[in-house]
Amino acid sequence: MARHNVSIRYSKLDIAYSWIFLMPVIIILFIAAFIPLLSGLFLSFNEYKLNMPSIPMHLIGLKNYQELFKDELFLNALRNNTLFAVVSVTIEMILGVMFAMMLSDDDKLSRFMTTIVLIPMVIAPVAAGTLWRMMLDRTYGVLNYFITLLGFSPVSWLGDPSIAIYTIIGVDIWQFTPYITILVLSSIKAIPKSLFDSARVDGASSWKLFSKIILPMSSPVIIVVMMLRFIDAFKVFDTVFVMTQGGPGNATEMLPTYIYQQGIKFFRVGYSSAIAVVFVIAMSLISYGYNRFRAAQLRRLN
Amino acid sequence: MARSLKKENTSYLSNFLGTPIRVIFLIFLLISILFPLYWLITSAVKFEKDYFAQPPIIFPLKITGINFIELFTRYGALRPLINSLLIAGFTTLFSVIFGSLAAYSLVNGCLPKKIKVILSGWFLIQKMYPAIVVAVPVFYVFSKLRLLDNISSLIIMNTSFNLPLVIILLVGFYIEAPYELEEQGMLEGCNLFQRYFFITTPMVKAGLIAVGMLTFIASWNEFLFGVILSVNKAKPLTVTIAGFITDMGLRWGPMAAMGCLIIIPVLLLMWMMQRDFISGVSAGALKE
Amino acid sequence: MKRSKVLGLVLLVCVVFTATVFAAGQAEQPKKITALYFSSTYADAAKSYVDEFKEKTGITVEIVEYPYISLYERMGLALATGDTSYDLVTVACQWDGEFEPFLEDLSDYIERDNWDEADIMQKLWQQSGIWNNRIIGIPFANTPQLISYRTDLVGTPPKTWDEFFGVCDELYDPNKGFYPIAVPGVKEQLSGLWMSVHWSLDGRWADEDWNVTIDAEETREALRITKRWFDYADPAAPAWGLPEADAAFLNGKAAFCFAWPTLGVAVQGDNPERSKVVDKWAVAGFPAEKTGVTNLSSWDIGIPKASKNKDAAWEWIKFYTSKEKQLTNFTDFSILPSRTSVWENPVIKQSKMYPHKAISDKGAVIWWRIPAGTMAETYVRDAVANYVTGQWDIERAVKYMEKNFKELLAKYPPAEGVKNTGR
Repeated sequence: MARHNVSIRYSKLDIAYSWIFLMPVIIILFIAAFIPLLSGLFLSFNEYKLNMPSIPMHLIGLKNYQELFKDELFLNALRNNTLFAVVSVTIEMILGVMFAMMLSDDDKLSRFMTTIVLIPMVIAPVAAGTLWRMMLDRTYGVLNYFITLLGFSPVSWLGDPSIAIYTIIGVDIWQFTPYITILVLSSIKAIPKSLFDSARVDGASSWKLFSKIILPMSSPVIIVVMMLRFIDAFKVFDTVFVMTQGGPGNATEMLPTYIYQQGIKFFRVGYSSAIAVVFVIAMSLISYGYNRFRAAQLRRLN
Repeated sequence: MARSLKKENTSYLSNFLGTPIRVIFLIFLLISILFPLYWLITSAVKFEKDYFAQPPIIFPLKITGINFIELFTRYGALRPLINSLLIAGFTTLFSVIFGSLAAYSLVNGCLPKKIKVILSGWFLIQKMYPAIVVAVPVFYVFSKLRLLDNISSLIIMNTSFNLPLVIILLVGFYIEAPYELEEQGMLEGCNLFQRYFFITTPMVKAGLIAVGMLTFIASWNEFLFGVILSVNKAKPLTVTIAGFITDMGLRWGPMAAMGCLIIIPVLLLMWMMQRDFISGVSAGALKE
Repeated sequence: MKRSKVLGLVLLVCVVFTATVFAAGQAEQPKKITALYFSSTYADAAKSYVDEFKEKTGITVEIVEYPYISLYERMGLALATGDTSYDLVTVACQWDGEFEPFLEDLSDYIERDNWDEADIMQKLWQQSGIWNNRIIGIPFANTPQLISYRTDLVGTPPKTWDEFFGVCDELYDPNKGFYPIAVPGVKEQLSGLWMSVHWSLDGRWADEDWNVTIDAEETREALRITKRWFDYADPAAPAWGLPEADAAFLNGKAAFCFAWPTLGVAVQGDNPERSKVVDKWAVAGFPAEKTGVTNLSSWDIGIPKASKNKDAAWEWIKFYTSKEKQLTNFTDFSILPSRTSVWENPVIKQSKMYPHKAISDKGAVIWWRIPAGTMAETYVRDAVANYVTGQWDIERAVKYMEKNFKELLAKYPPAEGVKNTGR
């Protein structure tokens, strides 16, 4: 990333400075991120129940991992989380791209709406979760009130096990579609207008402009955004914690809440670390896959 | 983001699904975003017995400010508010300072290539795992350091979360800054620090503001470590609002008022600096 | 601005910041102790006594409170890592076994001060505060699980579940919005309710020597009964917490309320502003069936081994569990006493809460108090919730509990010689 010719010689002072500038970051990340993660990795090969000093921490090799793959609650959390990620990201992408297109004008309306669209993004997930919980209450919630006005019967949004997870998906869509909209919007605005002019002269319809020009040219950004949201969907914690705590039953248990349960509720530090390691590896593989896809897409554009 | 000087009519794009559909969707968008906000604010000013009114009161005629007052008199929200401000403020300060130093060094310094590879690899991994993964080791360490219930532990953790993004974004901004000024500085005998401080960093001011905003918002909204690392005195606002979901019930009044307290400052900040916010967020994805 | 000035300023800020951090960390006011309480009536009571205690002893007490769902983690994390944040902790009796290794044995203090330990109800103490032959806490709240019912709609409280459902059948009137059973269906409450039913049918999780006996007809019967409650409850009940169930009962929409009376109905039942059933309610045990044994909620207050202010902490314990304070706990906060003498006080004896004593004397129990007790309870929680909401069938629920109990006991066995004093 440095853009000097190799022939420039840096003074000793400059070299020293380069390293000094980097030091604070290295120190902080080392202490607050690297060491804990490494200790997590180490712990995953141990059996360690924090509140049982009678059984001291001891190495058990891969036993935690073996238990993991047979653990039906883990598999349930994995299933829920995957469903959550796939459905919410898909819908968010479709809606996000659509809204981005609809806001791509330069007029006052578009700018006003863009401002509005920013709102859900900056709301703390905890606050959003509590707010929606208030509105989704079966008896006193305002959402059910509107539903009854339309003639339907009230729904138990967070209490019905077959619906609860879709409710959580809905809240996630509400909170993060704006994120996608803003990013795709920037990408659309970066496309030179001249491309459109020549296409329109040739009689292309709006839809053709969208599908043949905008979509392909924005695809690298879209793929990146999809990957970011997909991975973030697996890290969901705040909203689920505040809205359902993983219930009803285990219908909305997600991987992070499951890790929380095993690690901090049950104090099974070794086991929860193993789940975390599997999580990190899976996520890394997924992002690797996405990156390959995006690189191929970039190559095709050029 | 450069804007064209003449305002072209690009509705051929925005109406790509037809005008009526666009109108419907935008109205839907407006309502779905603004109504919850409206509900939050009206809930915060309702009288307690009105929460359980059947049907729910959409236009409260009788309003009261007691929930906000009680936040501070009965629920002691002043302390968490100060905590949140300090945590977000210092996290932003440190992230921007340390992050810009590191990013500048990576772009214009003379670090070996390997470092950059290692760092970008590490940043990638840091994005992969949820914070919960390191919660127990972190709790243990801070407990031994006697830094529990101390906002400095939260500042350290929040800074560590935000640094990767800050550095990646700022690297992008530093690369865009014209290199000629750097070269000129080198010719005039300025060392790396002087060049950083006087020449290049002022040019990326927009980038600094953008990442500053992102960091402030992210650390203001942080929840998990707020719960784990605080006991009583160091609780941020996000933890306090979750505390209203007790076994004695959802205390809707203070919850809504606290929600307003959490959301409105961030909204104001964002509205004032919209452009920078958008450019920061976009740069994040575009520079991936 | 000159470069050096700026640099100096930045350095100053960093130094000041670091100094403040360390100052805040080290500054310990003399004679200040911190107590961790369950956020509700118990914490409220404690907070109201803080000033009086300070006058008496000069010690400042800081009350930290957390709701039940996160109290366990906070307490456990602090105790297990030897954290010095808390000088006092209120341990729910079901956590006795989990936290015992980290709590101070209070026998020495009791002896030294000649404290009137005989006044504490012994059966209660055995279930809450004494474990592994150590006294790790003094119980201060004695709440066996009872229900509230409408005296104008229900004659005598039913003695069997068949009778109970018979009454419900007569009163069930969904068109008027009247659902006879107001039940808090959230996982954490439902599990306790199921346990009360199970034990009243003489069911056991395991025998005295920890042989698992959960796979039995009583378990299945209890599950069926629990599921049947929801046929007579508001459709939203599976998501109800205690407040929603209380609200339904207090609004006159239910005949029975399964939420803990001491936390809701007892506090608000006779307050005309909050309740539409003033003077129309009373408390009773669950249908007693075979044993009348019910779930116990009790809290004992203890001192972590890591505390630096143990003597001061012990002063608070004596204060908070004294006869006078247990009386005001009851009159002002509806906390039931753990001292036999206080139960005999006419204020309590003639109150609507007195039936609790009889049930307590019969022997309310708590589930396994082993280090993996929370895990065991979670298995029950999940099995019951998943069965009641129709996600699992009855065999799956029972086998799930059995399998996990066995694994748990194998992996995290109770200490040598410790018998199963619960069920």
